[in-house]
Amino acid sequence: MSKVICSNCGAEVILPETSKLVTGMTISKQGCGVHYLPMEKKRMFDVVALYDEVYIGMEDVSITYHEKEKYTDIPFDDVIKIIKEVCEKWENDPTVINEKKNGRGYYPSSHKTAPCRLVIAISGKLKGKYLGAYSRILDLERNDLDILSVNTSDGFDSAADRIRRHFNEKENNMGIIENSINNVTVNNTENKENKSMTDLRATELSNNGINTNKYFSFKLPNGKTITVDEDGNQVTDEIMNKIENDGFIDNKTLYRRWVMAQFFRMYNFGLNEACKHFTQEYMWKMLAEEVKTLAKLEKKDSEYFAERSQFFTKKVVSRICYDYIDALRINIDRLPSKNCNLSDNKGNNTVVPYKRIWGENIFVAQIEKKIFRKYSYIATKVRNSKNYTELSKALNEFIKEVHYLPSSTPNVISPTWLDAYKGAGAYYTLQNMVLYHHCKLLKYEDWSSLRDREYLTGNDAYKFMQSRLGEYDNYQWVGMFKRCVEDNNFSFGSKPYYFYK
Amino acid sequence: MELREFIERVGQGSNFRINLANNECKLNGQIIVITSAISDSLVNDLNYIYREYKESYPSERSKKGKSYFKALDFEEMTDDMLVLGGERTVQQALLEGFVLSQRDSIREQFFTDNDNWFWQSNEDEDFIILKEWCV
Repeated sequence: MSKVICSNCGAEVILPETSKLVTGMTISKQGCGVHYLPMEKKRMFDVVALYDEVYIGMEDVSITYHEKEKYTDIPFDDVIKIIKEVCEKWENDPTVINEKKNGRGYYPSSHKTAPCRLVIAISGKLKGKYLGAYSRILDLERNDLDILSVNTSDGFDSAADRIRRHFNEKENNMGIIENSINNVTVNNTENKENKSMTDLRATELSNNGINTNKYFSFKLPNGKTITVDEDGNQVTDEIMNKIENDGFIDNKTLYRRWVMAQFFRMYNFGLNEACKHFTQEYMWKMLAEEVKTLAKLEKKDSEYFAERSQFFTKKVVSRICYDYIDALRINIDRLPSKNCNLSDNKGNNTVVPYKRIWGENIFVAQIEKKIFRKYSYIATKVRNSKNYTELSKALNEFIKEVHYLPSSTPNVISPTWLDAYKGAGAYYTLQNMVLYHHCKLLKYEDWSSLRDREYLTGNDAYKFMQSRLGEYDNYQWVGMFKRCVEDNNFSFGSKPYYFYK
Repeated sequence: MELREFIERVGQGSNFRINLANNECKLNGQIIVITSAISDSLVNDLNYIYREYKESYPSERSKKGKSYFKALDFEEMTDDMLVLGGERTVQQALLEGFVLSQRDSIREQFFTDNDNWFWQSNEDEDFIILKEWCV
């Protein structure tokens, strides 16, 4: 148990042991309603609701409930205890034991062939957005356990539909949960649950000093509800607004979706083919921005920096600069040399070769001094920099001097940059696939592991990836990514690019 | 110039600017005329092309110019859209060029009454064509 002082009201907030990744903000009924944690504690996930309803049901092969229980208003610490209790109860259940005897028990190696499994549906304020946070925080390390999130207003029957749909998706290897949450069809609504939620909201608002009696709400034709003041102004829920603005709930940029999309587009096009279309302008711009963000992360978030800085290291950046110098040397050697006559004071004429480079006539003997010395001086600055801030300064200085070379010169786009680019792309797409698209990852240690074929899923797979960050080269990440796509038959569906008659 | 050729040129990197109110189209600074294309069902084609434009992925090139029609932001898009969608500038050229080339038939079908000053799609509320652009 660790104590943290809220930066808003000064109260002491007790965090559970399992909340290693929890950061930013916690919601509680006591005290000021919303506790802000100091910035040092901020990590991957930012919001955890302490009070929520939990539905627990059991699932068998034919996907029907044979037991269900309901818990309401549980503190977050007790959620884990209850889930562990239910897991034990489920294992000792005679029907489950019979099924396991018949050979339908769970197999830890593969996710797909696990027909006998337990399903826990969590509802309330979570509504799917905290699903990843829950599965990470609980860290139960069970392959036969699924944690879903369900809307409270939909009731328990719709939760069953939701779980059935989840299983159908999992069979087709299309386990995208978050998207299907919004499409749940409501058949039976339970007014009791709605009341309990509205009461909760009212008490929270009244604790903050807002009088809820004078407001009234009405429905728009879109289906949205709006609460209005006496004067006719729209009233917004302060707590939800703060969560939305400051709480990073919808902050999808943390997981680098853009990198994933870009890399998958490249993969569909053909990786080597797509790399030919990169321009020098894009290369330098991307490199400068990446180093700049790394310099920011170095000061603020050391854990994330350690993960992200594995690809564009200081060594790689300096190698890219020297690659440019090599390409420039080849390009200048190719230029035609001309001759000119120079006369001394004594009247002796000598023939001196010169070249025209970037609009200037330079003697061949002075090319090294006038052009290359400048670049090699800045490149040594890049190589000897101590921080990423120094590195970004030196790199920007280098980029100012860069002239774009003709595309016919070999290695115009640096091969080290391409390697790092592909490696980073493959790593972050793998991270997204494993955590949010429910893909399984081969646990590769040596050649014998290829024979046994042990697969990892979810948080375990991500931990395995993190442990291999320093060891693997960039091309190994690309190979791992290709292997993962083949194992899961993963694709984003087939759709024509565009059509026009 | 045919619409297909116009889109290919935009895809290769040439700049374009379409002014729907003045019935004008510029490709790399030169004024061109897009020939009217054949469409059997105008509404379906318009809806389809607009959906393709709305779900296309944004780029730095698309941020520079302005467009007549509304598209999704990066944060609103799903992963499928980001991977499978087309480039936004190309889709914008397709949509605006199609509206420009179908100018007469749009006016005849949608703006028969004098009262209507805009047309809104039944499929998507964000898809609006003003009367100014077709008169």
